[in-house]
Amino acid sequence: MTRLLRMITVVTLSLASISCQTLGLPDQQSGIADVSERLPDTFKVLTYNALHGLLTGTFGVAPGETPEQNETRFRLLIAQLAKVQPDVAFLQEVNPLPLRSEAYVGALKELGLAYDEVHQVDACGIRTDEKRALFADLNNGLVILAKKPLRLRKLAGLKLSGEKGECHTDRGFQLEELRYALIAEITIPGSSRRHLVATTHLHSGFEAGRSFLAYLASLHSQGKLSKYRSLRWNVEQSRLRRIGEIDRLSRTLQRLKRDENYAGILFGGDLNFESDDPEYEELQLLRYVDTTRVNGQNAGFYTADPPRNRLIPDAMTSPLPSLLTGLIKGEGDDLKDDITRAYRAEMQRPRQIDYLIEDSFLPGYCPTQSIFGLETDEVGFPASDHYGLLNSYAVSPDGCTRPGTL
Amino acid sequence: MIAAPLDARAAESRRFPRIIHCNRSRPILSAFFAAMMLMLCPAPGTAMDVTDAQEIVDNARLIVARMLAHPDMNWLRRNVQEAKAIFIAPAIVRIGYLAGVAKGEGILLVKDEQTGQWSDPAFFSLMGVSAGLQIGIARTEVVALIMGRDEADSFFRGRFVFGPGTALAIGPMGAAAKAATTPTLRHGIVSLAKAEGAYAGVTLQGVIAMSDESTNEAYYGSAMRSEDILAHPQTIRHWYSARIRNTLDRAGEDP
Repeated sequence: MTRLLRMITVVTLSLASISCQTLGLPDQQSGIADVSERLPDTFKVLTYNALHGLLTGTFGVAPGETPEQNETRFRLLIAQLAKVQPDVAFLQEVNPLPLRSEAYVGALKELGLAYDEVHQVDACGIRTDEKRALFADLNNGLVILAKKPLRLRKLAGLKLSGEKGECHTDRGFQLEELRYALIAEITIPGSSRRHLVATTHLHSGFEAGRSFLAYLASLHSQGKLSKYRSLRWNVEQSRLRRIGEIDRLSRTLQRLKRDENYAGILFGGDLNFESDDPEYEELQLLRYVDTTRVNGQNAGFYTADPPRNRLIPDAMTSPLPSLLTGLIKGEGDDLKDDITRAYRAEMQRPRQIDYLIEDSFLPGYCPTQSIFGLETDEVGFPASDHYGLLNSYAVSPDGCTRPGTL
Repeated sequence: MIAAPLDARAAESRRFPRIIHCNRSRPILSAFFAAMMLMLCPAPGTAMDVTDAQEIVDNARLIVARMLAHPDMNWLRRNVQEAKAIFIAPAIVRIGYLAGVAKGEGILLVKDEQTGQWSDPAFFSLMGVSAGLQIGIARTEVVALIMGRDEADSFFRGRFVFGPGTALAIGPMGAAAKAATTPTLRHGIVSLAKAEGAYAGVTLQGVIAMSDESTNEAYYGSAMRSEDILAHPQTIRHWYSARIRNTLDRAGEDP
C-alpha cells in the first residue's frame, strides 16, 4: 500500500512538474518575452550604404574605381565593422552579390567574428547565371549581416517599385530601375523573441532640398523659368514613388508582424529623403519612430556630408543633371549662373538621408545613435560616399521617450 | 460506327461553318470568355483583410496625388475643393470581346459641408457589364469628382449606378484641364481616368458601385456601414486614413 501511495505521489508530482514546465515554456510564436529570458545587455544595429563603386551611364555600367581602390575601401569597412561589432548590419550598394557579402563574412571570420548574411540583388541588368551577364560587373544589392549566435533568416526580397524586370542572386532581367527591400527575421539568443528586420535603398531621382525648390518656385512666381512645372512634376513623381515604396514595405512588415507574431520591427537604409520632406511625414503618419529622435534628440547625423566626405564628387565641377539643364535652357545667362550657383551650393549641403526606423523594436531598451564610417585611408578617403548610423541599444528599466506620432 | 449521310454532314457543316471549327483564334476567344466569367464570380477565400484594405487606400491616395501634381491638372486642383465627394478606384479591370465585364474596388470620401473636412473612406466594390465593339484587357485608374449633393447622397444608400440618369462627364484633359477658366460644375459626376492596355471608351458608364461591408469591417476593425462612415465624418476616424485626407486637404495647393 505504501509502495502504491509512493508511486501515485511520484507520478502526480511528475505530471505536475511537466504541466508546470509546459505552462512556463516561452511561446515560440509570441513576441511577448518570458520573464526568465536572458537578454543581452546591449545590442547594436548599423545601417550603411557601402557604395557599389560603379559608373552607371545610360547605356552601360563599368567599374568607377581601380581594383586597388575597391580593395582599400573594403579593408577599411571591415576594420570599422570589426571595431564596432554590430549585432545586425544593414548594408546597401553591396556589389557584386553574393561574392561581396561572402567576402565580408570571410574577412570578419578571419578577425574572429562569426557573422551570417542574407542578401537581395536590386540591380542586375540582364544575367542568365553567375558568370554570364550583359553587365558582368553589376549584381548590386542589399545585405543583412547578423553576428552569431543571433539567428538570421531571410523572409523575402520584396520588390517595392519598378514593373519591368526581376533580380535574383544568380539571374535577372531588368529593363528599368527596380527597388527592393530585404526582409529577414532575427532571434535574439536567450530569448524567444523574434524581430523583423529589413533594409532598403529607396528611389533617388532629382536630389534637391526644400529650400532650393522654394527658390525655383519664387523665380517661377516672378514669371521666370517657363519649364519649372515640368521639373516640379518630376520631383513630385520621385517623391510619390518613394512614398509608394514606403507604403508597400510598411504594409508587408505590418502584415508579417500581425500574422506571425513578431515582437517588433526595425528597418533601415538609404531612404533618399530628409526629415522635412513628405516621405518623412509618411513614416510618422504610419506610426514609425525615427530612432534618431528617441530621447529628445532633435538633430540627426549627416550621412551625406560633401564638405567632409572626399568620396562625394565635387559639386562645383560636376555636370548639372539633365533636369536642371532643361530647366535653365533658354533663360538669360545671369539667371542661369544664379541657378547653377544655388544648385551647387545645395549639393554641398550636408544632409541626413539614411535612417534606422522602428516599431516597438526591443521593448525595454533605449537606442543611442552615433555616426559610423568616419575613418579614412592614409590618403583621406573614407570607405563610402555615405556615413552610416549606429544604434547602440541598452537595457533601460525606466524606458525612454519616443517621439509621438502625428 | 456508321458514317453520317453526306447530306447530314453538309447540314452539320452549315450549322457549324468550317471557318469556326478551324479558327485559330478560338482558344483566345475561349480564354476571353473564361476570364470574363471568372471576373463575374467571386473567388473563394479572397476576402479582404486589413492589409488589402490599406493597399486600396494607399493606391487611391497615390493615384489622386499623381493627378493633382500633374502640371496640366489645374482644373482638378480647383474642383476638388468644390466637390461634395470623391470616388477613387485604383484599378478597374475590364475584359471584353463583344461584351465587356468590368470589376474593381474603390473608395468614397465625402466632404463635410460645415467643417470642410473629408470623411474617412468607405469601400465599394465595382461591377459592370457592357455591350458593343470592344476587345482587350485594360486596367484603369479612375478619379471621379462628385459635384452634386444628390449624387453624393445616393452613395449613402450603399449602391450607386453610374448609368442613365447620372450626369456623367469625362473630365477635361490636356489643354482644357490646364486652363483655369474651365467652369466649375455644380452637379453631376466628372471622372478622370488613366488607362493601361488597349481598351477604347473608358468611362464609368454602366458600372455599379456597391457598398463593400466586409472590407469596411476589415479596415475599421468592426462592422461598419458605408452610410455610417460617410454621414459621420467627425466621429469615425481611422489613423490610417490621415494621409489620404491630407492629400485631399492640400489638393488646391499649387505643386
